[in-house]
Amino acid sequence: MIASLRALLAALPSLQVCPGWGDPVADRTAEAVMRRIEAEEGSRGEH
Amino acid sequence: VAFGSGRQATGHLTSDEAVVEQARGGDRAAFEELVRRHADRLYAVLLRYTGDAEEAEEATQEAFLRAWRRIEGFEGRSQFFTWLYRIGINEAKRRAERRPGGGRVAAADEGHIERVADERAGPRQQAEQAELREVLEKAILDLPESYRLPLVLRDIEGLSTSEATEVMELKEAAFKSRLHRARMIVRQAVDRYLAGGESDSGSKGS
Repeated sequence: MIASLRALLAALPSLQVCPGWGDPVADRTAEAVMRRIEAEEGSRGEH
Repeated sequence: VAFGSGRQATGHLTSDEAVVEQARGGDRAAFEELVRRHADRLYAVLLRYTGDAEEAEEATQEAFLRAWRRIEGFEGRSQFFTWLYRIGINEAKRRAERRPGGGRVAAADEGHIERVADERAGPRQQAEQAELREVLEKAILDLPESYRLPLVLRDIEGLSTSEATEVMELKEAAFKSRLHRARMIVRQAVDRYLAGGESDSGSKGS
């Protein structure tokens, strides 16, 4: 039960999404971003 | 788990500032390190902002790509992660505007928001916590975007007021006013739920 604004605010951080727990977002993002950077810079080097 | 530890770069041997400096010199491995440090939290913010896991992940990738293209111009007047969050939020806004129906963020894709049960609580308490989370999640997603972001950054992600105002490029007074309003709206939604056991379908548009 939420009886006050203070209690409500205390509950909010528990909503924090933790993609690292079972969903490797950071790895996937790093791989995709570095692949795109390499492709971009590769194609720039060809011109 | 120390939430936000990647954001503050604590627990890392090298500070964000030093890694950013290397990346500014064109060091791709250093930039990859920054991606790995900050991707999870940026994704979490954008997931709350967009309510759509796929959209949030694509905006996260695009934000890092834009950050790489602009990193030479990053002068370190703000922290790297506030600069990055600003790029990410602008990217999510741009993408939302381009979508049919422009600008309205999607409903929550709740399957992608991980629920962590407090294992110390009994079954009844766990059920109550789950119900409360659901009410809070819905109340937050129903907030107008300009109110939702202050609440997500400050109260969920734990940024300081000055960090959050930097991300949103708002004056402190304007930020605090939006945050206060957001908290009040969420509180009212929770109060209504507790007072009347209001169903999910009945709380929109108030």
